[in-house]
Amino acid sequence: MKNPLANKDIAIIGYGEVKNVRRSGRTTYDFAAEATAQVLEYTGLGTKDIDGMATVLPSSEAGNNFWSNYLGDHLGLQTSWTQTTDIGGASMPGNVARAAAAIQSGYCETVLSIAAATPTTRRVDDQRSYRSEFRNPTGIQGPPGAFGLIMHRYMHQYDLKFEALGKLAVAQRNGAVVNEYAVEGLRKPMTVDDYLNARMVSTPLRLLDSVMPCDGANAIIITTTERAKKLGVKNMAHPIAYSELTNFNVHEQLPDITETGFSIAGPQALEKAGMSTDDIDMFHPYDDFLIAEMLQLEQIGFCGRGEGSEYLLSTDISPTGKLPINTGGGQISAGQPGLAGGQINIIEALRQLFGEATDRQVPNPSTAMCTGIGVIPYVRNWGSSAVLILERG
Amino acid sequence: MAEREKRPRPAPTPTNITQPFWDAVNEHKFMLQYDPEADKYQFYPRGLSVHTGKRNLEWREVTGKGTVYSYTETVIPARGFEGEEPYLIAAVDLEEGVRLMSLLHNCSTDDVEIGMAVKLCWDKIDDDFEYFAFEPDR
Repeated sequence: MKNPLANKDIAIIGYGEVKNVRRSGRTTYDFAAEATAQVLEYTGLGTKDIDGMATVLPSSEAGNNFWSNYLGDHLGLQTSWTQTTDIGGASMPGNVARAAAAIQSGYCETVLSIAAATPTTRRVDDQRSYRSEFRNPTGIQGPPGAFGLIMHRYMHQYDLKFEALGKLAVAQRNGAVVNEYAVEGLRKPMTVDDYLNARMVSTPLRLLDSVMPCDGANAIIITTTERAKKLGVKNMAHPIAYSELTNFNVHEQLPDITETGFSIAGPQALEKAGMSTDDIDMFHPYDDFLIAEMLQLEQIGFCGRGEGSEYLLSTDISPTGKLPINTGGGQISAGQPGLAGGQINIIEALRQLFGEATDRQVPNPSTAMCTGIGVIPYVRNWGSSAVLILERG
Repeated sequence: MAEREKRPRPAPTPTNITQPFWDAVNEHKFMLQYDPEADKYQFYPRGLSVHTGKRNLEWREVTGKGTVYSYTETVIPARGFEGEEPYLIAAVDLEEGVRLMSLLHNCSTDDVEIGMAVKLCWDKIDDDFEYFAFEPDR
């Protein structure tokens, strides 16, 4: 299988992250500026060293059809390659692959991949098509309602143990407690009983199955391994495989809604990397809902279909365990800064690979799998599935 | 918890693609797009057939009979449904081979189950607009 990332000629050389906060009152630009200043400081680069920019279109700026221009202008970037990706939470892992392809093609050499969103301060998104005509008038509670439908169907086909989801919630919360970038209100320990007793939103989905929206931003810098070496950077990680699938099963009018694009993109990314799931030292899945992580574990191949509950209950998923999962709390316990949430798992993976995760450091990890999920289509499972495998350089 | 202020229930804005569908719903008829070449229906209404990529779609009236594929009871209401919670939403597979989603009326949470027979019914959004919903087909 063709893998343009196989020879490790692309490197991620640093990260920046802004603390998640609710209703900051600040602009998306200000968050983007803070994340950019951080990653520039981390790498020792200046704005004039950046010649490419990739970003995601956040709901807080979705009315601006010149978003890339405005953002790059605000950040003082003159770029020969510029990209806004709009496949939701799959956009930022997607941008790593897009930036790598642009760099390999010679359009640019050093890309700032920046995600900023302030949906709890401002929301101007407006989706038409099926959403305004066939979703909103039904009274379904948005994504929690859609995942309520998915969970009941999963329970009809397989065995779902809520204690397993509770264990995952607690493991991530333990990460958020020691993650200074998590929403402050979420940095309190919780128990499996807290999960089981949480208020229902849309049955059988509970409040603690879900993310809490917030404002935030994060950034990474991607360049060639050759330039990274010349710069003498202190740390680097190579993206070594990437697969993405959008509108999985769109032709099917009666699809199995427990199945997602990860059933294709997951095994494909592993095959590109020449790896099995045993070679993945830590898993940083996109986590809008706990059940989404379980579906990914099954469909990427960490366990069999329908075995997610047993797998979670029998596996140590803490930082020192067999498969550490979302060690910084993920979005469910650190907060979901809108579509900038799609990169916080990559930031956490880099922090771990670079040995900078302090109290929650995974012992000497060399590989990480990060994923992205985008959009809830009409009575289907999510629309975009992205799988990115990183290796310490 | 203080009762949430009731906001208007969102009503669809018909487009040039969906106008025939909503016109039919307002006459209590349910029409689906049908691709004669693929011999398949599709939902939601689109500008081409997802089966063949052709703009050969015909509108056909269908039975409105189906079975529950999945369901969820909404406990925290969506915009425009404040005070109506809890209420059931069902994903329904119609006999014609498409899946729809809407409110499930005249059914309690204890009675709903995957596979149960349902049929379409109608739901007034306001004086100008009907919406489709489901109820048990007993």
